[in-house]
Amino acid sequence: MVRKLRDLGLSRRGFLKGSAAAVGALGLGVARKASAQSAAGRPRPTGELVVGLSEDWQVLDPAAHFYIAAYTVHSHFYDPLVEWDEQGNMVPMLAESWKSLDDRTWEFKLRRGVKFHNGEPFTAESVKFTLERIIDPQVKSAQAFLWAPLQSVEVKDDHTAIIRTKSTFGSLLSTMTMTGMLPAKAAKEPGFFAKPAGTGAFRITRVVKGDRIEMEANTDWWKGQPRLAKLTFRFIVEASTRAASLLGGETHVVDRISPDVMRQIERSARHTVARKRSVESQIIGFHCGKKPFSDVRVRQAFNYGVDKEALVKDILLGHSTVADAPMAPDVFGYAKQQPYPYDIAKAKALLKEAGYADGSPEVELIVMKGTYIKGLEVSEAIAGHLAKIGAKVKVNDMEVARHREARAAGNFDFYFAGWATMTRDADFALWRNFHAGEATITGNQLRYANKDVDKLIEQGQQTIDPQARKRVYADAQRLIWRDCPWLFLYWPELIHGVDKRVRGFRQEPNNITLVRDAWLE
Amino acid sequence: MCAAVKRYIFRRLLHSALTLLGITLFTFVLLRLVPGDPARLILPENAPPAEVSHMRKLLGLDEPLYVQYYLYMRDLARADFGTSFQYSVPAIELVLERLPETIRLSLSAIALTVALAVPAGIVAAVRRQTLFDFGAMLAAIFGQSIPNFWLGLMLILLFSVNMHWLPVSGASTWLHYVLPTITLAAYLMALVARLTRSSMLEVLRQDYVRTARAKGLAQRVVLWRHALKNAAIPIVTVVGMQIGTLLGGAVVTETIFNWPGIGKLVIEAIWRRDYPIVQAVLLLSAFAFVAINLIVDLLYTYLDPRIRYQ
Repeated sequence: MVRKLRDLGLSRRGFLKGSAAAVGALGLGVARKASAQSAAGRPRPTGELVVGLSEDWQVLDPAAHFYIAAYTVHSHFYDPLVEWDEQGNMVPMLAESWKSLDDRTWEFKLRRGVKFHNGEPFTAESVKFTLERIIDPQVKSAQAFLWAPLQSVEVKDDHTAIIRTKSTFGSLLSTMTMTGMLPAKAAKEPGFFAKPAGTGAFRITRVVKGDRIEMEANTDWWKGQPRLAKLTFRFIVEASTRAASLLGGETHVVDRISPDVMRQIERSARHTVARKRSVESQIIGFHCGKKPFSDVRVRQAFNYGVDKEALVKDILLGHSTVADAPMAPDVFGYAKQQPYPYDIAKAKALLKEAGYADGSPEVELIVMKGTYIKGLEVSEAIAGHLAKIGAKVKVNDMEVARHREARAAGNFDFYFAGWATMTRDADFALWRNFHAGEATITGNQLRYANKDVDKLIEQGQQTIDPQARKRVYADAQRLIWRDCPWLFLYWPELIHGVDKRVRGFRQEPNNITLVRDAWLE
Repeated sequence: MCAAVKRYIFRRLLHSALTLLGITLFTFVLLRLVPGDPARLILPENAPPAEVSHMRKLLGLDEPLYVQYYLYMRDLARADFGTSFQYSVPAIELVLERLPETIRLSLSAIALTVALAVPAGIVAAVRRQTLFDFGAMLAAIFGQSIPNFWLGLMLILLFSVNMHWLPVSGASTWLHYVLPTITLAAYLMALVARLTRSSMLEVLRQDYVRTARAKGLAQRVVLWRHALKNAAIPIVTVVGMQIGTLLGGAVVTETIFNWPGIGKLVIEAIWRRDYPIVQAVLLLSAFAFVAINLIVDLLYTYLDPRIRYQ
């Protein structure tokens, strides 16, 4: 399909826009229409779709994880109160409407007549239970920090929930998109999360941990019954097996296809690839608290000294976009900056100014083994580029657990990593990485400190008006871009392998594979 | 059963128990010496230190190591292998859910090996220096030197992606067993075929074989009753040891074929520093190893009455 469109003279962007619109029309559009009419207007669910994911979703408890794969799988049986649509607008799900009553109080009007898979009605009690559970210290919650500003949830009536926060919670709505609602009664029972009930499009029928989860259509779904009768997610860690499972007809959609495997899929008559720019920033983080990267000139020199265009073209075969801001365009608050051009002379001059002779500084770049597409190849190429400006870079490919330990302990020079802004909000992108005043609270592993940046990020958190937040974040990004605590690289493209019969499949920019409204032709 | 054998079995059981105890300590300490914090791997990147220490507390990792070991052993005594950090369910539950798939795959690989490699080795030994011998030994060299991840991927490409004859991954039908079994058995078959051949060659030169032939016994009887029984000791040892190894999970084969077995479980658990799962798998596989060794040793006494332990 991609090739055909290209033959028609469509650009990648045009194609993406077009496909987004098409998918929207086919998937979401149809779903909306159906929910507006009635469930009866939709055909009976048929067929089975199998999705192969590269990551294990591990748990079915919405509080206990922070994995892309978990969000993907959960999105099919849990519903949040609100979600992002494909154009980046906040749209209603289980909440019909919402408003902020004041800086610290939000009112959510909830959808009526919604039932969980176990028959329990969805009410404001569900909202209270779900959200307060996340910040309960007794719960093994991986998201408590995200909801730290939450104070309490008040049940005004069955269909009105009042959310109170300790401080202004500017990113409340975007955080809400990540939180599937739980049945307040059933979820207290032991063993509930082995096979939980949500309000989502599919209900779970079978779980084999670390291998697969099988679901069937929830014909009572409040949005209208799904088109698929059965949906299975399989965890297939090995990239070549994942691709082979698609080509062999065992799966219909697989995620994280690398650019070189992509060609193999494109050659198949029955398959195609779907591509979308993600909200992930592929970066190199500098240890700003120790030499040589405590000197901003060295960090800038490194930004000038890497040929990002070449990395994208030669190693990623064009399937990434050179970054022009600390966060990707699909993140709320994105503000475009002027990219650092590849300029060896300027980089050398900056290093000289910072007092480094040729052959220095000598630094170690740590890479996360097997985590990022072409991560090691890109890192090695970067070391090659940096050799040209006189720096000596040793690349160390580290196992994930060690990499994360080294970063937490501050035991590194600079590291190759990706930052996926899962909530699609600037707060998550900036506060988590660059707010340094509270290095011990946010876990800012860069040890980057700029009081002005801190102030702006705090201001963004404490502002509710979207336009005002955008302005604040634009200022913050300008300062971060100048200080370059990161070596800004590129925004990788999400590449899915897809069976051509699949319709209505959505690639969310935050890496979520959404087949809720999909069907097989 | 005579008293000596009983005493021997008792002593071996005691040794086995001590070995297992040593293994619990060894794996416990070794896992914790490897850098990487399980709490940090559950939480998102850049999680605040306060969150990390809270999570460590919830996982019971805030206690001193000797207290953790004491608690682990105390729970183990009640057959509680601990709760998986990542999945939040009892580790043993996960292991037992996966074990049948690993056992089935291992047994089919062993069965294929015994059915093909042992006869091939015998025939190669009897018809030494013939085309069959050369062919079998050449195949064996290939089997031993081809990396199994490569073999697995090639088999998938050929039989699944191109010909659509066999499934790529999973373990639902008998067809799913074909490719992983071949991949897993390739090395083992090569090993056993070569071992059988050399072992048979040695035995066939022995006087008692000549005597058996001189008595006018049929070739079949000479081979099966006199030669093979004596040549079998090293073969039984190797096959036994391999069963032990296979039960610990065939990591590479299971990963390539996305086989829902122990190997895939344990490798993921190692990446994620899910200590309870790794400990449970290692302990069970050590148990299998020790038990099989014991059985193999007892088989020796049957195969060769001269072998008697004091």
